[in-house]
Amino acid sequence: MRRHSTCQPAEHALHRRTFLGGLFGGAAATLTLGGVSLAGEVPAASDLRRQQKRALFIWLAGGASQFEMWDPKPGRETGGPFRTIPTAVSGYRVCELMPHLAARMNQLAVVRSLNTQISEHGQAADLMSTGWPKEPALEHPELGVVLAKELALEGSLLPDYVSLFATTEGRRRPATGFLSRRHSPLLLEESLQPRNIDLPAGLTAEQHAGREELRASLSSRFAEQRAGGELVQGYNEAYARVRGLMRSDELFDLAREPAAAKDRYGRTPFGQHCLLARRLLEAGVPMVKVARGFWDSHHDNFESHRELVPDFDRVLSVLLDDLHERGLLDSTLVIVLSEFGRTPKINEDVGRDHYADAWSCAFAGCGIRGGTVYGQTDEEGVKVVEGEATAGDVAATIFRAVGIDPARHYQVGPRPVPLAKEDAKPIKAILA
Amino acid sequence: MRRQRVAGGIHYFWTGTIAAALWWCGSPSWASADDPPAVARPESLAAEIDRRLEAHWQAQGIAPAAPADDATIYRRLMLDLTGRIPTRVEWEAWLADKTPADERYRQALRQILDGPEFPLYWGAVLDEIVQGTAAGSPDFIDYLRRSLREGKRWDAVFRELLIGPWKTDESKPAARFLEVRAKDLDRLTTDTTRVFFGVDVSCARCHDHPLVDDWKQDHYYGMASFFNRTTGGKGNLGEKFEGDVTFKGAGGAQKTAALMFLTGRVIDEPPPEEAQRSKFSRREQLVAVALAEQSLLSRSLVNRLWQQFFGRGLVHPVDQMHSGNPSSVPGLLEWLAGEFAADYDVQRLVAAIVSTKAYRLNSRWDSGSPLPDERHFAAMRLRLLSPRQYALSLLVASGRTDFAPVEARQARAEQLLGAKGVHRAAQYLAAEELAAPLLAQLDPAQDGQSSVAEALYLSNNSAVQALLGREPGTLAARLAETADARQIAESAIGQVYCRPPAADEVERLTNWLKQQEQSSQPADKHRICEQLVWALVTAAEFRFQH
Amino acid sequence: MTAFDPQRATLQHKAETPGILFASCYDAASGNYYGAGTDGAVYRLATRAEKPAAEKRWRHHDNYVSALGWLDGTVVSTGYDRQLVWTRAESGEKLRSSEAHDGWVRDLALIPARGQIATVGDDLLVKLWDAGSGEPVKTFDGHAKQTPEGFATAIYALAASADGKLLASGDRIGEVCIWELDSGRLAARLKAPEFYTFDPQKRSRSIGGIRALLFLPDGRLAIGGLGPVSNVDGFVGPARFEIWDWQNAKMLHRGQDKHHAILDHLEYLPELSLMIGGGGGDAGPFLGFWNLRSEAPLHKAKPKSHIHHFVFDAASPRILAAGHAGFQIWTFTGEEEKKP
Repeated sequence: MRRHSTCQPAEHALHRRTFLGGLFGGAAATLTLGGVSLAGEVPAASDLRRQQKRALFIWLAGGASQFEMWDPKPGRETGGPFRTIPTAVSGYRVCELMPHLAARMNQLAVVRSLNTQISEHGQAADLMSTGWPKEPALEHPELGVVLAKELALEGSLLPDYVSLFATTEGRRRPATGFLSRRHSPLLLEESLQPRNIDLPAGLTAEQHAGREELRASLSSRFAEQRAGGELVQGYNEAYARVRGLMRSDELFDLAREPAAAKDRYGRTPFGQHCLLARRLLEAGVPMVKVARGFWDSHHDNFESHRELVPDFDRVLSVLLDDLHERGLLDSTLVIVLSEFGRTPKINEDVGRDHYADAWSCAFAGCGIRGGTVYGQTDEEGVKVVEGEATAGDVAATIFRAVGIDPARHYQVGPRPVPLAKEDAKPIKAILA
Repeated sequence: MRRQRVAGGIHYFWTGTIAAALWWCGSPSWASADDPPAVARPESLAAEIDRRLEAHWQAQGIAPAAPADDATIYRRLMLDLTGRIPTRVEWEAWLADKTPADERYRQALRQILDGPEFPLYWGAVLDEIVQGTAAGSPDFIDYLRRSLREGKRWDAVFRELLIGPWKTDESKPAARFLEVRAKDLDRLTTDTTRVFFGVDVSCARCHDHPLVDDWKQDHYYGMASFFNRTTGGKGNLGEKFEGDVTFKGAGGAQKTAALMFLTGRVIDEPPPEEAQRSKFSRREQLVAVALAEQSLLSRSLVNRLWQQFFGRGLVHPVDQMHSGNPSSVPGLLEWLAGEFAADYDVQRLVAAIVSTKAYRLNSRWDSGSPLPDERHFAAMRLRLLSPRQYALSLLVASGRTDFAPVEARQARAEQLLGAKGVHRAAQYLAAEELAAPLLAQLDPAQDGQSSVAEALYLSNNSAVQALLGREPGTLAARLAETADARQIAESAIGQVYCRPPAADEVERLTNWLKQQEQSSQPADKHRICEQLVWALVTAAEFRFQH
Repeated sequence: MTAFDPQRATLQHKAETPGILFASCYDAASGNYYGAGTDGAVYRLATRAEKPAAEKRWRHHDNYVSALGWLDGTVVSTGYDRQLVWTRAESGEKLRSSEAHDGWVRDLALIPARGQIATVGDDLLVKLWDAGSGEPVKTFDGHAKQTPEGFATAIYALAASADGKLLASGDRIGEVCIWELDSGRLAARLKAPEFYTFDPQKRSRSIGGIRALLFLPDGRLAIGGLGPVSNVDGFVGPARFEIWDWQNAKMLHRGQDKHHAILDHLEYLPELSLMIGGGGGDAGPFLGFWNLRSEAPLHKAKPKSHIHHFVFDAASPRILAAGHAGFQIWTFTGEEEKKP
């Protein structure tokens, strides 16, 4: 049974009364929808919008091996056969499978000291992608959903959040949790084209608009003087965004990219997906998630990473270069994260299993101090010896990097819920 | 007690919807002669619920909403009990019925509850409640449907789900609750306590629950202990006779969990050799203690059913029942649960809740005065229809499914076979099949929030456009054959919104129709009628329960 | 050769070594069995001793050892350190070490008829060396440089025909090249793509490859690995070998078992028409015996550890195996080793 250092009953005392509710009398009734109030504004959000920041979340689904990437242990029993290469950061060496990122290490910040303890795919994915452990009464929104909400430009016709998860294993759909479904991402799964954005056959744009106008006015009129009528507002808003999304269909058309760009990113799926991501970010979509699955190399770990890591290395390097060349890197936070890492012990099928006690993640771009390597694991990579960081710390760091105070909160019914866990601390060393 | 008689033991071996419909059709009755005198009738339960609510409102200084109008009440009732809007024939008959309001309502309610659609729809609703993300197995849903139809007690369903026996074709599907969870002890523990006892103890797995005093690690692992000996999976569930759950307590010490129910009651266990000999089943003990302790099992279901009809449980959230989170109307849940536990008759409970005046309150509210918090149930609130409700209703409104009343000859045949309602059941199952592809694309009802994905789907998906299209017999086709714009508007509103049209909205729609005719060259009347139907079914009045 | 009953295969003895042994070779004269793997060291098992124990002999590789060969008192070894090393077995003296490939060296084959050694490496080349001097003789280049999906590939297996005329090299994507050693030309290319599974839908990556190759005395070629994989996170496919008439690019026979495992090594006993395959995977370690009359094995033994390489010692008869956690000795008397 693992010790959960992140969850101490005393910390919850602050929110205990607010959580249990019903004990506040006389407060003005907040609009409650199933116990959750309409999520309020996070102060200072409007500043962010003016600065037009973006975030790119690269999700390495399945658990990428830190031994074969950011935190190699060459020559040790746990190290495996790959050797290391120097990087642009003096004294820091990475696995030999990442020569391109090694050369660009001054743009990246690496955290080698994650200890998140949960090593089951689903739970760990939820933990890392929300920054919160599972709570019974409250479903936390995925980090991208929060970022999309806070970074989205008012009146933008673009989707706020595009999430690309083309493979099926471990596929997650970013949950909006207690935030409105309005903030659900546009999902690209089987296809790189969003579904249902083409005008239906036989219908002109004028007719399409004409019927929507009728729908909207009927709905608004109906909702007048109705208990719960504010739901209709959200309902209408969903429809109001339809035309904007339909008009952005060109964004998703990779045929519009010159051949040179496509060649540069390469023809692997991850390459094409990152090219699409760059396109979306450049057009102003504030939040993009690209999942690269599936890294769960229980057998034949070294052959698998030999296959996966060079592709990742090459594509991410091209992407960083591309964002930089287009002047976007400073305003785009790039996050590279998995649900956990892999075991130091090499198992009997030459594989590595799940490991959440000591593993790595990486960042680049907006708000990040490139060229930093934070935290350390012991010689065998079994445990963290310096700079231990939790899922909450990662979340807090992400918010800080784009200029959001992680302690700010949403009001969920009677309970104020901070963006990152109360005890989470941004990893200052990697923040610019 | 009301009982359904199953169709004389005749088994039909056909495939398809007729067979499914026949499988459990019976001829129901309110056979009051069988009622044990102690069990309260729905009407008196409803009266007491209303009395308690009124007392509560008085104490809170709340003035409730006015009663809803007739058309609204009928639509609301049909949606909540059968999952669909009424047909034009049905609601016009309802409005034309001159019987005094309360009696008319009681008769309509009885007819629905005795009819085939209630168990068909509510089998699916219970499936979602019980199975959660594992919902959707047709066999399991039909098992629940049969149980409802037969009037099986909820405690009997609970028993059957957890310990069987699963020997007959009818009872085998009940094993599915365990089958999908047997290999995951945490999930089995958490799901059972959430669904059947209204308690989420999962946070107490790692440490005593941080926010709720009631739940310690001992409770979580105590509940897990009822399941830890369960083995197997599909088709081969079993139980060992030894083995304990151990866990690391917050202090770091390794502990062995006691076989403890949520109430703290610890079950005496025989020593291992004896357990083997007497085939001691921990799961059986869970059922026994849950039924003996009673309150959690009864309150949880009452609370969930309350949520189905009012949009919010008496305790909210429905899986957070504990001493620090009481019912928002003091005493109501406890009392109603006690009444329910007299016979665990789900239909009686449903009838009681929907017979209340509170259930028939208006969702209209004059924004001049402050709206009471939803937890007081002083007004009905708008709620998104569930995907199933919306999809079925879409099919009815667009004319894609037929719920025409049974013809005389068919009625006679049904009468002869003692299988009343077969025809309607077959219609329903056919509608369900047509509705299936839409379900995953629609926003779930629970939080009432809308996504752009659904809006895109309904706006642009070609299958949806085709659904609302103009084939013979559909609403769009009928409208297109109607000459007068006013008549088109009136007919459309009636069909889609299940009520008589208001003058100003007929005006509005007529203008819109004229506008569309003028703007498209040449004016394609068919197309315009399709778009009218689209706008009506995607407008809020149709999309929401109100 | 003494006849024996595969059904009576019994794990008679285990001798542990650290890590995983990938390679082995046998000195039949002394009964010394050598194994090497993840820690770069070579271990020796004196198999004729009463209770053989693994003895660490030398460490001449700086990374995993991938293959060993016994060459008249010398152990030839290849490693992921790119080196091809000659070591005098008795003394442990390193005789020669040279960089054989630009990348990991994956396998070696001895070609006594030509006094040569062949190696394969991650530069996707097959190289021929003089066994005595270590001088390079020839390079063969014919394998695909990438998988069809554009990812890294490797040549995993190498085998020489007994007459020294042919070399077969097998790679990740299930292709085998047959090289004529005299002329240097590519005599044939076989495609057995089922030995390689790329899953584009669930996981967007691959697993598999031809891990074992063997020329049968009659010139047919045996290929070993695993069949189509349902979950590329693991060796989750049937243990499989195939026998090919490589001249006509025709598969003649398939031996397979539903035990999910990859076959890392094959040995063939022509007098008994018996094919032995060893490996391991999702269903656990594997040691199978086939009689080539049917697809299913005659018998499957249950090793406790994944076997990566083995030799058949006809004298006893027994199987000496090397793999995860060290050495295994299998006999066919049906008697397990008596524990003290």
